[in-house]
Amino acid sequence: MINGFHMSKKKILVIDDEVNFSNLLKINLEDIGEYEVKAIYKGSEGYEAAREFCPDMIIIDVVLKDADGRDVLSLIKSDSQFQHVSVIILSAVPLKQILEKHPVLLGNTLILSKPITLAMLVEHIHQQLKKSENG
Amino acid sequence: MQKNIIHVMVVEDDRDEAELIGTLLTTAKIPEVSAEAFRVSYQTTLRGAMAEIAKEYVDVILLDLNLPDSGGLDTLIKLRGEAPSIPIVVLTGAYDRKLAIDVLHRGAQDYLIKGKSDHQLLLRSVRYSVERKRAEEELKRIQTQLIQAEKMKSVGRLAAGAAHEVKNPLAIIMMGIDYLTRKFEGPDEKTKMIMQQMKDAVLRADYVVKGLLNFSSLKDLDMKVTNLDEVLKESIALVRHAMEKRQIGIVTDFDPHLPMVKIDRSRIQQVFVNLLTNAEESMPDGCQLTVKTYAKKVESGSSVGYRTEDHFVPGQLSVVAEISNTGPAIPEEILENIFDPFFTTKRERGGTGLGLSVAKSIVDQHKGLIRIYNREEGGVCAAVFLQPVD
Repeated sequence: MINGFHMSKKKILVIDDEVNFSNLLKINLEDIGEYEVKAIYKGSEGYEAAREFCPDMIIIDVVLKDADGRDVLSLIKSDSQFQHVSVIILSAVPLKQILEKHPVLLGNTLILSKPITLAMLVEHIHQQLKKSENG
Repeated sequence: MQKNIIHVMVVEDDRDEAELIGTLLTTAKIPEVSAEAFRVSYQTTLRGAMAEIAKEYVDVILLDLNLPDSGGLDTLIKLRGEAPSIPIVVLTGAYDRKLAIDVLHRGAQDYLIKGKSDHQLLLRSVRYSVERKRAEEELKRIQTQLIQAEKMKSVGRLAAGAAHEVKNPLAIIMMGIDYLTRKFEGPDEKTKMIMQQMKDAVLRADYVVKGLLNFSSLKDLDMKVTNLDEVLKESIALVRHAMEKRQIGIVTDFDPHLPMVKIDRSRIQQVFVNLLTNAEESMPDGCQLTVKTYAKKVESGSSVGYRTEDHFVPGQLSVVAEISNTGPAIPEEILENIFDPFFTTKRERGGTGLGLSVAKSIVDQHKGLIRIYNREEGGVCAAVFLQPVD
């Protein structure tokens, strides 16, 4: 892992209980060659996975079977190590609902709606990562 | 107390009898009916009666079943078929128990025996029939409204749940298509085309789900004092391109002194764009569309009254935006369904049947009215009535 080639890759943690979606997203993103992706399917394992994987970005669905994705995010962000981690909420529920209940999440968080094309998602990932590098 | 004029049409081939009834009605001096005055017209045949109701407003019909051109129950059935909303009181010479029951079953309001009914009985019968019929109509109208409201509510409830269950699989399919597109990358145009078609299909399904979600998110309105003309101009700008392509002319007639309205601008714009698009799509090339605004006192009708659920009281000032076209009329049999969710006449062209029902929900939330009707001079008119700012 600690070789020059992998060092340049950005790490993305995907947390989504739609197993097939998470796997496909991982394959698609890794095929691009710029990202290293870890996909997990349980919200409850989110914080543990973040500590282990140290992601540059988290892509998470807010409606998870075992937890509320927003709580998972709050927990991860409460760790100073991840306070400024880039986040994309990628969800099938209406965006307004997400915003109203958790305005705290807004900093550094982008909300996108499923379904989304890979091209568009990658575009947003790119921008988010660039923003956090500059910020 | 204001006097209501009740138009009574007497259908009776015996002129003496008809005149007697007329006199009894017009010279009435009875306390319980003194608030009303009667205007009486006479017909001696079923054909004459039908011709009169076709061109004039009649409140109640006094009907002799045996006429030169029709006899027995048939007379009642035919006349009711022509004017189901006008109350009918049947007059006949002989008392016949079976016939009495039959006429009531066939929708007559009452049954009177000629010569045996004094003027008090006659007047009461006429007045009660009118009142009963009014109550029936009102009940029917409220029931229809309730059913409509209930339909909208259940669609809204379903939408939020269904959205999540549909959008997730769509997301998987989309990711899968992107994967396959990469794997099949090459000069194969056919594969490329098929992949693109699959992507389009996913986006189309997503579009329908988004339309459904409009129902569940309608609660959050961003109300601001606005000039309705401005909103209409913006909406027209959005559809102008489509109109020009089909050589459809847009004539505008805006009232420069239009009172301001308090609305959610983008939502009302959504309503106008929907109405404009509907008007455009239902017209042949080269027709004309007229957009008008004006202030007007609302007349009675659906959602106009003194109940808490009514949006306007009769005679109240409203700000009206009217979009009318010169296209074909909407068939009467579908006119009552056009606001139903999923009702569409253009499913094969991608219609979801949600446009007008969402438009109605939005206007309802603004405590306004939306009416769509066939114009007498031809074409269809869609009118939105909104509350002026005090």
